[in-house]
Amino acid sequence: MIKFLLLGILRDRSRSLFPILTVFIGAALTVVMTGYIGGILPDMIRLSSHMDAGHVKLMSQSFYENRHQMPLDLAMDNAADLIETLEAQFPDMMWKARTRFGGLLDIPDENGETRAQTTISALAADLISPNSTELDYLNLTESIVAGGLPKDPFDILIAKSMAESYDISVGDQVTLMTSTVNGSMSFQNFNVSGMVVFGIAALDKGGAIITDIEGARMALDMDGGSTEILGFFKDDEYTSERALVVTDWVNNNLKDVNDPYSPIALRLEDSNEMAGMLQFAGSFIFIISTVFILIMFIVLWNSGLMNGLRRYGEMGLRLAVGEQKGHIYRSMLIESAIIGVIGTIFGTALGLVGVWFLQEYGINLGDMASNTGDGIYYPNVIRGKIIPACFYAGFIPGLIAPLLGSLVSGRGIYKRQTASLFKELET
Amino acid sequence: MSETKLIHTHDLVKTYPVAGCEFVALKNVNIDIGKGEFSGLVGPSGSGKTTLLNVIGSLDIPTSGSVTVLDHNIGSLTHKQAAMLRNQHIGFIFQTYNLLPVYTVFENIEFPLLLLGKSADDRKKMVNDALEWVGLSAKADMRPAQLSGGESQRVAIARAMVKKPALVLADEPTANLDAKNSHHILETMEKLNAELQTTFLFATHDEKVMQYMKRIISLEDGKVVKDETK
Repeated sequence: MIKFLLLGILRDRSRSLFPILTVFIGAALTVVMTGYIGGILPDMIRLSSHMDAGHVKLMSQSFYENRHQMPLDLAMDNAADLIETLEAQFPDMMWKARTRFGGLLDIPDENGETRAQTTISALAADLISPNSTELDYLNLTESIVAGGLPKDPFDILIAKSMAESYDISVGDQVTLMTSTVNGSMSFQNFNVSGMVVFGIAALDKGGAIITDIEGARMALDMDGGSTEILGFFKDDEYTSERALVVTDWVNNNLKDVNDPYSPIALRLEDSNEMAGMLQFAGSFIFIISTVFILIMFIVLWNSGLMNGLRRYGEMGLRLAVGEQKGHIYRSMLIESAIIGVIGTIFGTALGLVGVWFLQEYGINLGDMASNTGDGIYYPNVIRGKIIPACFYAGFIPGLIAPLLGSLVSGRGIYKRQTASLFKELET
Repeated sequence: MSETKLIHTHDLVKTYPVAGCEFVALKNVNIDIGKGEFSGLVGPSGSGKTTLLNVIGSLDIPTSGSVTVLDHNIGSLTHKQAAMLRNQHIGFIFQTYNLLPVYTVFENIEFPLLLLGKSADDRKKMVNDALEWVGLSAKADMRPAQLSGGESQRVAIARAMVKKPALVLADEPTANLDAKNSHHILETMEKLNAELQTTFLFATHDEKVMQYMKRIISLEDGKVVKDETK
């Protein structure tokens, strides 16, 4: 019987072509979307953690409460001690002190007079210690497009776009104007050692500068302090559960509600707006499947009704020769399943080609990405990834939607009186 | 009439609701049809021929009275039992052939055997036999669209006969055929009736068909008005 139904599907294009095409398109889009999310999510987690949030981020409680103002006077002043404690407690993690601050960059002319000024957003990290891993985490070596890495605490890297906008060259001296942790004005000269392009619009298009943390500490008068301490799992594999163990320990053992400078620890998704995104990504296959099931179900339901009307004669005949209504109904469901399988196989194949294309060539969304913020980073060129889910994600809507469509549209025939069908067969 | 009763109706009444009223399609029909008969229900349109054929074919149930076909009381059969009765014992031939267009002649004839769960070898032999009966062995692999009207109706006969049913119900089987094809079809059915002892019951108002009938049951306004055996 299955062979008989299969022959009918293959030969009767009006019965099969449209439903197969619908399933094909739905399955292909599901696979592409799955591969797209599968590719962007790890990039997003990696970049956001490396550039901003770590896998775990520690700040002083008071700094955390006012973090949007970046209040340097509320920064932690005992970073080294804290790191020592954390390294002892969590040997599978490494800890990095970083400081973020804002200011004004003064760009002088050849006479030393102000030629231009621009606001900047600065990141200070350990760039010159022999064993520092920050160069890797911030991907600085590969991001430098002119000049070289800082060798001195008062060397800085600046975004290439800013350098071009203000005609700054490698080797130029610029002056950073900001306030110290004590609230007094600070003026510090820095040498531009290199220019960087991160391939992350949020960094490349802003007035980003990167400096060594020791130089920043001197400029900001925050000896040994930092605005944040980032913790990274050494294997660079982030999971919320692993991070929760760490944050729980810090918040239970080091946090003191009576001491505003005592640390508070946040997981990656808690220190920016990534929680909702991670939650969405976790249920992405379910969400995208549900959306495509609904769309395809409506299309296939209608197509099933049209098909049912067209095949009324066939149904009447099959009843006349003694096929039971239930059997006819089941055979329609089997047909749908066959159509679903055929459409999904081809759709998955096309979807995989699409994901491969995204994986190899990516899509440059740099312009759109320029408006993102709140510590969520992703590369300008979004790349998909062929993940195991790509091979089965299409089957969820690809099988459920045609079955649902037939289940509903077939009821019309199932509920019709046999004699009515038989009469309509004759008309 | 043959000695063995295949069909027995007793005070058969069939009504349909039409625009809030009850339309009486069959009024106290009492007939007996025996094994191997070649009979016709004749009468003008609306006389109840097709309704009677539907009830006998277990596609519909009586409103009152009783219909017994092959010892099955049609009124008390479940859907499943009615389907089994049709599947195993009754063949249908329609005015419009109703062949499945996407399947070949062979596959169209094979379909009832699939429902009966016959093995592939049995199906092949039985379909080839049926094709031989109707003289279409050479066209087994053709699609219905490639056949003439007469050939299509012969395929429909082969499909009805392939399982060797006890009863074949034919509703206006020659209405779409010219005289030559009509005679050919009727001769084929007459031959099968004689060879296989299959009972044929026609619904028709075609004079050509009536010539072949051994028994003619005339209906008017749902009532049997004449029942004559030649």
